[in-house]
Order: sequence, then structure tokens, then C-alpha cells
Amino acid sequence: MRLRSKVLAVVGAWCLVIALTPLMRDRFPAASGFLYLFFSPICHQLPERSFYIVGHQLPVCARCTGIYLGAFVGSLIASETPPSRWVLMVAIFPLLLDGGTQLLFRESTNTLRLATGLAAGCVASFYVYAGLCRWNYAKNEKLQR
Amino acid sequence: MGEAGIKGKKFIGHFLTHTMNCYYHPDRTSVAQCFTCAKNLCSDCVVMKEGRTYCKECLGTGESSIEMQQILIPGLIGGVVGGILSVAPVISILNCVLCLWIVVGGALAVYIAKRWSNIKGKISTGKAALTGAISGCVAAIIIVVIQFFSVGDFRSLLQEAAYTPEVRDALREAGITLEEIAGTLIVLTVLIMVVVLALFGALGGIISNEIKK
Repeated sequence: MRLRSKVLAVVGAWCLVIALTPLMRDRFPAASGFLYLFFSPICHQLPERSFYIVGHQLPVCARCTGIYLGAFVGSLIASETPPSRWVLMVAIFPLLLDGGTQLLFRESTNTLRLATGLAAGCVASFYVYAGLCRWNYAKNEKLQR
Repeated sequence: MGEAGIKGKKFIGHFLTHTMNCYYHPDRTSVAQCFTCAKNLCSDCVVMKEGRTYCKECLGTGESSIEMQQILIPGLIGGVVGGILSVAPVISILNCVLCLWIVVGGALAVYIAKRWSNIKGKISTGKAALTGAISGCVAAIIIVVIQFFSVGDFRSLLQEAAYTPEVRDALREAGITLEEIAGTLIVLTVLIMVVVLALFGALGGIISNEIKK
């Protein structure tokens, strides 16, 4: 199995669990409850800032949903070498601006949270993928010796 | 030739000397350029992969080694910083952005580890992830301890974890009340926090290690 497939499988599984949590809610409430609990330390889970599937909210907010989906898309197109740090700063700036200003004087929308999360998650995954590539390369080199 | 002309000639001479020679061995002539960072490389420094030339640093073979004891203290510092910022009034709200302070703590831990060990390049991804993970674990423990001492028991942690109406409703429909399983749920919540925050700290560590100037 190639590295990209492995990364996509892991990130895809993470996204799938997020989507399955509300879908399992009516049939398997205990399992669904556990998954909501699992995601609670990493997301505020505010109902008004989350998307809903079949009448139940996702276990993470719209911004986190965007970041994870962005990480999946980013893992599809990431190359072995990371881009310059400026690319990361440019991608994260809208997310911080949206998240920061909504604490002070405005209320953001779920669409904006999703969009800024998508950009940041996508670009952040480029760096993680490049790191995993180097790890994989070093591991293979050790095996060849 | 005027002064400007001499200066110009000197500049071109300096530019050629420094650009046509190997980046790592300035006394050797370069034979290739790295596909990624465009550094000039001599025959000892060039690595061929899939028809392209790379430097060892970009391909990971030039990773600087770092020992376990060199990452423990930076991991601890990153964790303390991440943990305190995660519970500090007002600024802790920025944790809404994908556990920002935990990721920053992991990134800071790797940065400190490299600075203290005088490493200018990259360390191995495994060590970067481990440093970030240590930072995430420490941050999780700090968050739990501070919440415990600020309120007096773990109930606040439980209330926060089960804040979402979906969690309460799901548990109620499964015939379980929060009070019944409070002990188990608190242990579970702490374990989940340690594992998940370690994961986010590791991501911060990897990203910090990969960022290049």
C-alpha cells in the first residue's frame, strides 16, 4: 500500500466517523454518544455552529469539518516537498481572522467557517504529508542498508 | 573603469563563485541543483530520485539526529505553554480553531528542541511527532489538573464533555444517566483528552519541523 493511500485511508476514516456519528444516533445511541464524547475535547460542539445530518448535529463544528475535509483534499494533491512557510500563513490567516473577529464584534456564518477551515486544513496537510514522505523515505533507506 | 563598474564586477564575481559552487562545500564546483530548494550541489551531495536531483536535506537523508533526552524538556515546556494557554481566560477561546494552543505547543516544543541542539535543518519526522505528542500529553494533564483545582472536582470536566445536548440525549436513550457512569466517564474523558491532544500536538510538531524559511 502506497503512502498516499495510507494517509487518505486514515484521514478518510476520521471524516467518515464524523459523518457516521449523527447517522448512528437513532439506531445506536450509546455508540453515537461515545463518539460525541470522543470529539468533545477537540471541539466546542456548539449546535448553532455545526452542520446537521438527518436532524442531528455533526460531532465537530463547521470550522473543524472544513479543516478535516480540507486535510482529505490536501492529502490527495500534496507533493513530497512542503511549500514555503508563507503559503501556510496565507492559508491560515483567513481562519484566524474569521475565528478571532467573531469573538470580538461579529458573528461568522457556517459557510465562512467551512470555507476558511477547508483552505487551512488543505494547506496544513501539505506539510504533514511532506513530513510523512521523509519518514517513509528514511525508513525505506534503512531497510535497504 | 569607474568605481561603480568595479563594484559591479566584484558583485558578479562573488555571485558566480557562490552560486556555481556546492552549497555545502563552497570549494567544490556544483554539478546539479536540488529540484526542491534549488541549492547547487556537488557530486557528493546530490541524490538522484525518479530522474530528478535533490539535496540530502530535502530528501530526508540529511536529517539531524536528536536524542530522547534532548526532546523531553522541550516537550514539557511546549506542553506547559499549550496547557496554560488552553485554560487561560479569554485567549483559551482560540482553542476553538482546531485546538490551536495544543498545536502551537507541539510546534514550539520542536522549535525549542532544534534550537537547544543547534540544529538548523530538520529532525526526523518520528522525533518531531514524538516531541509534539509529549507536549500534547503534558498539556492535557495540565488542563485536567487546573480544571480540577479551579472547581474542586472533576464534575466540571464531565459537564463540559457532556455539554452537547446530543451526548445527553444519546445517553438517555441508551438508558444511561450521567450520574450512573460519572466515574467511568471521567476516566474515559481524561484518556480521550490525553490521546487526542497528543495527536494534535504531534501534528503541530510535524508541521513545525517541515516549515522552511
